[in-house]
Amino acid sequence: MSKPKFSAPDPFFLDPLLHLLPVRGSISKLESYTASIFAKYEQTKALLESLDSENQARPKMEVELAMLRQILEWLKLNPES
Amino acid sequence: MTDEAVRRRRPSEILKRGYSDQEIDSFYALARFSLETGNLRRAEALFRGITEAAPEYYPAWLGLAYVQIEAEDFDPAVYCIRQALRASPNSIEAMLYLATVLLSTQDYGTAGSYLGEVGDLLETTSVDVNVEKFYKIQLARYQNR
Repeated sequence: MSKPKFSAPDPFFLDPLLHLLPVRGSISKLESYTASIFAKYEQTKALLESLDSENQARPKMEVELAMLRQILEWLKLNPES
Repeated sequence: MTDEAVRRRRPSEILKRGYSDQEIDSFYALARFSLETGNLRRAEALFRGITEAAPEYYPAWLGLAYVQIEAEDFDPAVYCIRQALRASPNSIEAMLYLATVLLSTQDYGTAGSYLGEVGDLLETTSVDVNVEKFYKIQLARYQNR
């Protein structure tokens, strides 16, 4: 049987830059970190609230808080409830 | 450590100490999965957070570069890729990212240098066949400029 003239493109070449990103870790592990992630979220939020608006640490902490919020939301936990 | 020493540290430094390598790997896995499923907003928030919490974790810098390339923000993308290379100087993926972006911004001289480095590394390093093909495509872009 001859080789098909047309075949689906290799997924790598549909988005090579995405496929070049290293593969690390597993999202299935996230659930086991729920308690510590939630604790870090609460800790960061409290620290952030204790800082004045001019504090240079604020932007960095806001970035970390946003990351933790996204993870908790993905875990179907609303951190603000 | 004394209470006074703890008080002297900036709050974000205290926080960084709380993440294990496994946690960072899992955060990154969720960010990469978010890219695969088209949720760039979530991916960006996660990649930014990881680069803040673990600046030496080069895959997150590359992920952030990917988000910026998608938005055609090439200057910030180059910054992120250079940060990835600072953390992992021999990363073939990071060099290919940089060469690809530099070819898009028509910085052919620097792109050629990085493609040369990738070529040298590929002679001694075993990589996925698709990575090698992608390198050859970028080399062809460079040669046909």
